Formats: sequence, C-alpha cells, structure tokens
Amino acid sequence: MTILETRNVSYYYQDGDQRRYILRDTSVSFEQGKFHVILGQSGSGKTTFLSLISALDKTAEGEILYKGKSIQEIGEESYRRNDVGIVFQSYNLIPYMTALENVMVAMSITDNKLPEDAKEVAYNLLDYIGIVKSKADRRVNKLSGGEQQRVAIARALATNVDIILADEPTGNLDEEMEGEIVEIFKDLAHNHGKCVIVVTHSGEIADVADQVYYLRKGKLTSYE
Amino acid sequence: MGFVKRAFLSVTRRKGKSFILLAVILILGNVLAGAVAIGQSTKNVEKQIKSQLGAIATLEMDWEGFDKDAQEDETLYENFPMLDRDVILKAGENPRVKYYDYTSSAWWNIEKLQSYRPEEEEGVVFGSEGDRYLSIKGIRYAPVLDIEEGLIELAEGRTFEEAEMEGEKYVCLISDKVAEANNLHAGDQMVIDATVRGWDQETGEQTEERYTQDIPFEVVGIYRQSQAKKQAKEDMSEEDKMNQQWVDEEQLNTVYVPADTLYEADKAFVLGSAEKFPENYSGIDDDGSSVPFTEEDYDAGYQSYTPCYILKSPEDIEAFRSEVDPLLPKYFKVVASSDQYDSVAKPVQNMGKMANLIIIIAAAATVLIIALVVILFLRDRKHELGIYLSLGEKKGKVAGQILLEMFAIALIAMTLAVFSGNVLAGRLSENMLQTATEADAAGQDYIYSYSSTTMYMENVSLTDVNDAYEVVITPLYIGIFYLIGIGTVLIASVLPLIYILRLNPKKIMM
Repeated sequence: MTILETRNVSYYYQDGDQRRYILRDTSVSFEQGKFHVILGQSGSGKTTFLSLISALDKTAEGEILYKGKSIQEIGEESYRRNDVGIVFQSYNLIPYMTALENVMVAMSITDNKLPEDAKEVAYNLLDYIGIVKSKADRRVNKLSGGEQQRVAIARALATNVDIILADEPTGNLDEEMEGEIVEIFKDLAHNHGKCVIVVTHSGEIADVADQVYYLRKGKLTSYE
Repeated sequence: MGFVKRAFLSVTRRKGKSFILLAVILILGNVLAGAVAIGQSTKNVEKQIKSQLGAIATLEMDWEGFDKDAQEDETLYENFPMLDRDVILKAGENPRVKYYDYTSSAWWNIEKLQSYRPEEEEGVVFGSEGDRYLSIKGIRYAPVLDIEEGLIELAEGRTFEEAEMEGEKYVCLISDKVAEANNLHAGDQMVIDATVRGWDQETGEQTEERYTQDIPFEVVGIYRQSQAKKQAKEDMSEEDKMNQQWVDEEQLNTVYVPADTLYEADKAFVLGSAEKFPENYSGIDDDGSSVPFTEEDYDAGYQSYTPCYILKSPEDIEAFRSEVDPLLPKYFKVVASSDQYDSVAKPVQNMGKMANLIIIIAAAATVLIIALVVILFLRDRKHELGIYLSLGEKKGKVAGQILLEMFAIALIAMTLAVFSGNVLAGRLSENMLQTATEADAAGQDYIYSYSSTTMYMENVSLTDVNDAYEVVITPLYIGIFYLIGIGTVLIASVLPLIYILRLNPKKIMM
C-alpha cells in the first residue's frame, strides 16, 4: 500500500537568471512494509530528495503526499512531529542527555498517542535496537558510533511513525555495524510494517532492499 | 520531557556554560543592583527629609532675579514690586492647601513693658544692650497657624474668635516668658508702650526725645514653645543651641494680634511718630522740599503680607508650585519647605543622579553582553536546536526553552546580586558620600533664618541628610531591581530569539 508519494517534484537553485535543477519532475511512490533504498553518487541530490520527503525543505514544484494528503496541507512541522522519523548520518543526538532521554525527547514532542509509561517504552525500544538498560542511562557521548546510531534509530521509532527516513545511516560505521543496522531496518519494514527509506551510496545496502531507486541527473529511476 | 524539563537538563548538565552565564549576569547584576540601591536610598532620604521638612509653602520675593534686573534698570527700585492680596487669596484657593494665613508684622520698641531676654552666657550678647522690642504679628487665621503647626502651644486662655478677627478688637496672645516678666495672665489688660526715639541726623545716634503711644490689649491667651521644639534643642550642638537661642528670642517676644487690629494700631503709631519726628519719615520731592508722611505712604510701604500655606501633603509641593507660579507677579516665587533639602543635600543628589546614569549604562551593557554571550552559546548548540526542529518541535517552544534557561540563570544571579549589590552599594556610597561631603566643604550647615514662614520649617543640615542616608533592602528596591533586571534580560533575549526563528533545520542537519 502506497503511503508516501511524490508527484512531479522539482527542486532547483536560482543561479543568477538560471535555474540549476537538483531534482526535475520526480514522481515516485513508497509502500508500507517495504525497505526502500535510494542510490546515487555524491552530489546527485539524494540528500535533497530526503530533505523534501522529510519536510525539512520545500519543493520548488510538484507535491508530496502522505497517505494521499499533501504534506503542505498537513503542515511541515506537524508531519515531522507525527508521521516521519529521521535518522541522520552523524546521529545528531543531544550530547548532554542520556540515550533514554534522547529517545524521550522525541516522545514528548509528538502528538501521537503513546503508552502512558513512556520511560518503560523507551527502555524497551532501546533494548530492541540493542541498547541495554545500563547503556540507556549513559550520556550518548559515552557510547560508540554504532550505539549512537542505534539510539538515533530508536528515537526515530519512538514516536510510533509510519515512515523511517535515513540519510547515509551507516556512513560512519564499520562493515559489521553496517550489517546490524541494515538488519534493524529490514526488521522494521518486514515485521513492524514501517516504510523505510534509506538514502545511501552503499551497494551492499541496496542488495538487501525491497525496492531500489537510482538518482541521476535529477531523475529518480526504479530498479526492480 | 517537555521544554521545561529540557531547559532544566540543559542548565544542570551544561554546568560550565551555565556558570559562565551566571557569572556574567551576576557581575552586571551587581552593578545594576548597586545603582538601584543607591538610587532608591537617595530617593528614600529625600522623601524622609522632605516629609520631615513638612508641607509648607510661601510666596517670596525673588531677590536674586530682582537685583540682577535692577542693576541694569535702577527705576525698578522706585516701583518696588509688592505682593497683591488678591494673589495671596487666589493661591489659598488651591485645592492642595489645607489651610493658610497671610500675616503682617511690626516691631515695636518698648520701655516700660518687659520683653523676654535669654539668659546671657559669658561673652555672648543678644541684641543691642538696653533695647527692648516686641514683634507684633498680625494674623488672619483665628486658630493661629503657629499653634496648628506645633510651633507653639497654648498654655493658658484661648485663641482668637472669628468676631475678634473681623472687628479690629485689641486682643492678643503673648508668650509665657513675656507674661512672666510682666506678671500677666489670660484675661489681663496689657499696655504696650510702643516707643520711637529721636535720631540725630548729624551724629547718627539716638536722642533722648521720644514718642510713645500706649496701646492697650486684652491678653486672651498665653502660649509657650512646644515640647517637641524644646526636645529638639536638647539634641543640638552648642553652636546650634546658640543660634537657636536667637530664633527663640524672636519667637517668645512675638505678640499675636488680629491683622486688622495691627493695621490700625501700627498705622496710628507710625503716623504719630511721623508727626513727632517728620525728618525721620518725610520724603524729598523733586525740587528738594520735604514731603510729609501720609496715610497713603503707610499703606503703600508699611504693610506687606507674608502668606503661609500649609499643604495637605509634602508630595503636593511641586504641584502647588507649578499651579501657583503662573499667578505670581514678576520677581515673586513659591518657596517651599522642601527647598532647603535641595540646597543642603547636593552630595546625595549628585550620587542619586550618578546612580541613575549607571543604571542606564549598566542596563545597556547588560543587554548587549547577555545577548552576545547567549548567541555565542546558541551557536554551540545549533545542532541541538536543529534536532528539536527536525523532530517537529514548534519554534515557539524551542525559543521558550532557551528563554527559560536564560531566565532561570538570570533569576539566580539576580537574587544573589540583590544582596551582594546592596552590600556593595552600602560600602561604595559610604565612601562616595564622605568624599563628596568633604569636597562640598561649603556644606552650609544649619541655615538660620527667622521669618513667619521659615519658623514652621525644620532646619536640616547635610549631616542630617547623610545620617538619614541608609542603603537597605526594601521591597521597593527588590521590586525595582527585578523589574529592571528581568526587563534587561527580556530585551537581551530578542537577538537570540531572532537567531532561533531564522534557524533552518535542513542546513543544520544535512
């Protein structure tokens, strides 16, 4: 079932009188319960595309629909708060907070209905992601890169959203850790019904994805 | 974990940064608190002293202005300005006036009747030896203003009745000292032997020739100096006591009579004297011939009024001044009891002005420094703010968190500054006052003057003002300081808020 869809989305920078297109007339749909990968070389516009579907930026042309409704209509802030979780390459955790607190920050921001015992839910989520309780209570700057990325994934999941977006989530990790993170994404898509969209230039991740798109010259092409 | 908890975690976990901000605000807060404390203390001392000085106003000649103009235009002396009775009455209708009187006075030398003379100490002589006089004060306010204002109190008999005020009745109030010297009691008749002696125009000395008019009065009441005045005297230095004795002599030799009675009696006496000694009173005409002294001359020059307005509150003085000033003829001004404060309290006033200036400068510096420090810290936390925004947090709440952090730290710093700034202000102003007082060596101590109006006014010296100056923690001081402090932090938060509102999460996070 299609959960997220782009319709004729374009994005460009104004360079004097000229428009420099990063994305041009892109239409693509993403389904629930599937692990999607967007491949592309550096500078191809992968991150720009992710910033558009995560509502961190606005399209120049076209529209993005979440469950058939334009995200502009939903409201970008509201969409980020309630419908999408983002995992960044450089983790982007709040350094003076513990892993648990980082997860709970997201839980406190969302409007989604969450179980009353938020703390316990956060512990369980971290445990599912591979962060045991003793580590959950540590400040994130005392955790390894892989652990921090797990915390970032837990934070993205904590608000009970349907879509998980990840920007080069394994870019700073070794191969072993990359494999573990990819397994988590697969599990989230296949066993928890999430729509996972990962932007990467790693072929290994593309190999295990359900759907792969390639971004070149501003166009997104599907690889079956 | 709402933004309040996040703010709490940020303040407590980022101890170094919190401490730096606390230290900055504490230092600036101390400057602000010190200046506010000094400003408040100078206002308190002004209020206290002015309240002590009372709510009294009079209309007086502006001699300084008159003399200045008269130097250029000597004809001014020929048309000497006089205060019109209508102006006095009009000013008396001012709603701020509780009650008022306008008195006229005369000084009568006496020979048979005894006046009061203070006990003379060795080497000290009061007045001219042998001369005795009574100061006759013509009043229009029957309950007697001096009694109402606590300058004197009734020891025996009564004050005047309205009928006596209007009917030119020869009734009077005398002091217990004059009564004692002449063995008089309330209800007795007293004859004032108003006397003027001849004057040798060549030698400039008095002759044995004299003109005496016996003016009989019924003594309706006897007054004495108020206990409060006596008590105040006991606390004075020796020098001040001597000065006060002169003032006392004037007071105790004052005979209160109805103003119309004084007018009649004094006119008769002056005209009689002028007849006896025409050379002492006559004017010179343009052709050099002498012009006899007439009733019109008396009316034109011998009767002047000294109004005294008792206002409802010392706070009414400035409003009364501004409302009455336009009614006054040229060269007249409102002189108020509080004016004395302005002339003696210059060091304290200067300190107050400086404190106000420091408040403005320190507040501006605080705004700038706090804004810059917070923006610097925010730049450090750009990623954190980006995280909140990427999670969909409203910018208002992100700004709220930062404001809350600032205010929490500012509140602690300012609470500490309330006390430390006060101590600092106490020490600083003590030194400043000492230096300023020494510099103001001309620091005119008691200004002794005797007039029907200034007698109601307490005398204050710079020492009194300095003694009354005290830096204390009052609710008003705390309120004003927090108001200025929090206001300053609020203004300082504008720049950081603009910074937050302009944040673009994509640029920060990707």
